Amino acid sequence: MSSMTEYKCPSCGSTLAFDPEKGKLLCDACSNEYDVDAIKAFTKASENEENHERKHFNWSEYKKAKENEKPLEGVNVYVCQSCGASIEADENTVATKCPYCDSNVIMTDKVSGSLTPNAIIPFKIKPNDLPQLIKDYCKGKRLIPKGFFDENKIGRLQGLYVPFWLFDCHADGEAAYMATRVIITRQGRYDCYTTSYYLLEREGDVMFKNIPVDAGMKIDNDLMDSIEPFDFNELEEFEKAYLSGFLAESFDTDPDTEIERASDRMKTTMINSLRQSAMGYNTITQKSGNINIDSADVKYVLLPVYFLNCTYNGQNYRYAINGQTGKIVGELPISKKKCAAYFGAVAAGVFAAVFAVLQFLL
Amino acid sequence: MKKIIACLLSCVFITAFGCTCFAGQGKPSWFPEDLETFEDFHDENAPRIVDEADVLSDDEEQTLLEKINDITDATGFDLVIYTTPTSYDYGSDRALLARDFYQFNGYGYDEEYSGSVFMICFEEGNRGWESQGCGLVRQYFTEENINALDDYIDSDMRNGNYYEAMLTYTDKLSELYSNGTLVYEEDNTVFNIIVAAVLALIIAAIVTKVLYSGMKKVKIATNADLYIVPGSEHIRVSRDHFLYIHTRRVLRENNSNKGGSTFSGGSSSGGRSFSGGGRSF
Repeated sequence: MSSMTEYKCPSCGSTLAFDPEKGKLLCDACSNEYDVDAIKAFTKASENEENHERKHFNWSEYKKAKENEKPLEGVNVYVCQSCGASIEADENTVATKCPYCDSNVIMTDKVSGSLTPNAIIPFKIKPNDLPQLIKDYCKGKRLIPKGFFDENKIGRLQGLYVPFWLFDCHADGEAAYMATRVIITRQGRYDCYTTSYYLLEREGDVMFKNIPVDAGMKIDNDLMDSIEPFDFNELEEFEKAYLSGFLAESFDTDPDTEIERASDRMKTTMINSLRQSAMGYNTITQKSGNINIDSADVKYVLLPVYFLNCTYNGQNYRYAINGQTGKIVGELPISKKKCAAYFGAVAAGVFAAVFAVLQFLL
Repeated sequence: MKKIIACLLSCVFITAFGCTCFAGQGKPSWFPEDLETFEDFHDENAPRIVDEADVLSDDEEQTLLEKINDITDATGFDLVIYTTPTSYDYGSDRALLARDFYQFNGYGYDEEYSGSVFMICFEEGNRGWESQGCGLVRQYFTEENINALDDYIDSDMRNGNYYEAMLTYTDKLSELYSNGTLVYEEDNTVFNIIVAAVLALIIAAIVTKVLYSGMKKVKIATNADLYIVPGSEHIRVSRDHFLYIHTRRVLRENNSNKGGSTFSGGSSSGGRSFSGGGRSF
């Protein structure tokens, strides 16, 4: 059996859940609130844990350890410390709820030792705020089918700590551009267009910090890209207590592979940066470019995301909500009737106005 | 004796030559000697075609005269066509020359001397034509109608087809008196419907596209602009090399041949009110 942790209330023994608003662990049974550090110390003392030296995630060490380890099986089995039930979870599950007694459980072996995340952004958006956020998101979206986001669907929200790689990189590059400068003069009856052609050479470098790339294969990359940005000034030292009450997953991708996604973004920014240094021309087109990326550092962090799944007309729609900023992303269904109605109304209005102006005023 | 005769002959030649040279100066023969005592009059026998510049043949004059008579019979308005090789001492004020010619030669049949004069001046450096209307004709000689009238004859006048221009002038003048205008509003209803429909479809498509794009917010991030370390951007090399130059000349559209009409409303030297306009060529 793999090991796991539950944070218990010192007063009544019920499981505790992390409250994003107060930044403390709350007991639903006796309404007591506890600081994270206090509960951590209490739990440690209760379990008589060995005083492990805190280690942070290091990719190189992890790779070495992985080579010597037995490969993990697809499913791990845990025992709920509240009710004794067996809990099966896949190899990437870090935190979940016991399906029998609904206790919040954390798979300690997934977030300890060399697997300890470097940092975490705790949830700031409360689950109670989500219905209003979703209603605000729908405002102005005139083509949504009526009743798509009703109360029943809003209830099925999952708060999940998503694993991310944060890359700190140095980009160095060079580019060449063809540019023109046009001067128009009058010579007698002629307009003269004098075009001067230039070759522009630019070389430079730039530092990037905390470029996020999600480290979970099961999660859509475009969904995670779209909920950016996170405010990484609010990154906290990782504590297991933050996971209590939420689901969490560990990484199942390789940063050596995922850096390609970060590299593409950095190259685009670098090329644009070099181009913007060329000024005073009428046209600038890229002729060649070569950008090199040095990966200085990679961090393994957990970032807060709510997920909402809705079904409409037999199609599944998935939405992600940034658990720190409240930004909502996802593709909304289009009501064809509303689309046709708006098109017709705008066309009729513009036609009447334009025809009246042309016919009677001009 | 021979010397005296030679001297006298020289004087005659010089005087004749001087008269020729200075023929353009001074008042025309029909101008009243004393303007203050001048009284308006009707002269039904005054020629309605006065071709001092001698640009019309006898047959052409006859044809034009018949047209003039037709107009007069139909409307009661007088019409006279006047060509002159000089503007006398009117200088560039061809409009005044035309008005004075009409008044001081007794044109106009009714009490208000209603009618018009079409004058062409061929003085070098001052070539142009004028249409001036008097009496009831003034209401027809609006700026729009004068412009339209001049547009019809502009091409013939500039190409030296003066007779054809005069024929067109008389035809259009007759049309002007019949219809009250030479400026007709085109019925653009069908065109307006098409333009309004196309604009409506384009704008509706743009608005719907904007609403549609607001529903699709998920996309892969393509740049890392938000993650640049402030102050870390450094351009090491910045070189601009001049390669070559290319010049293209485009002829501008020449509008100098398309002269717009100069519309003028004013009085003759005798104080009669006129309205009309003309162009240079």
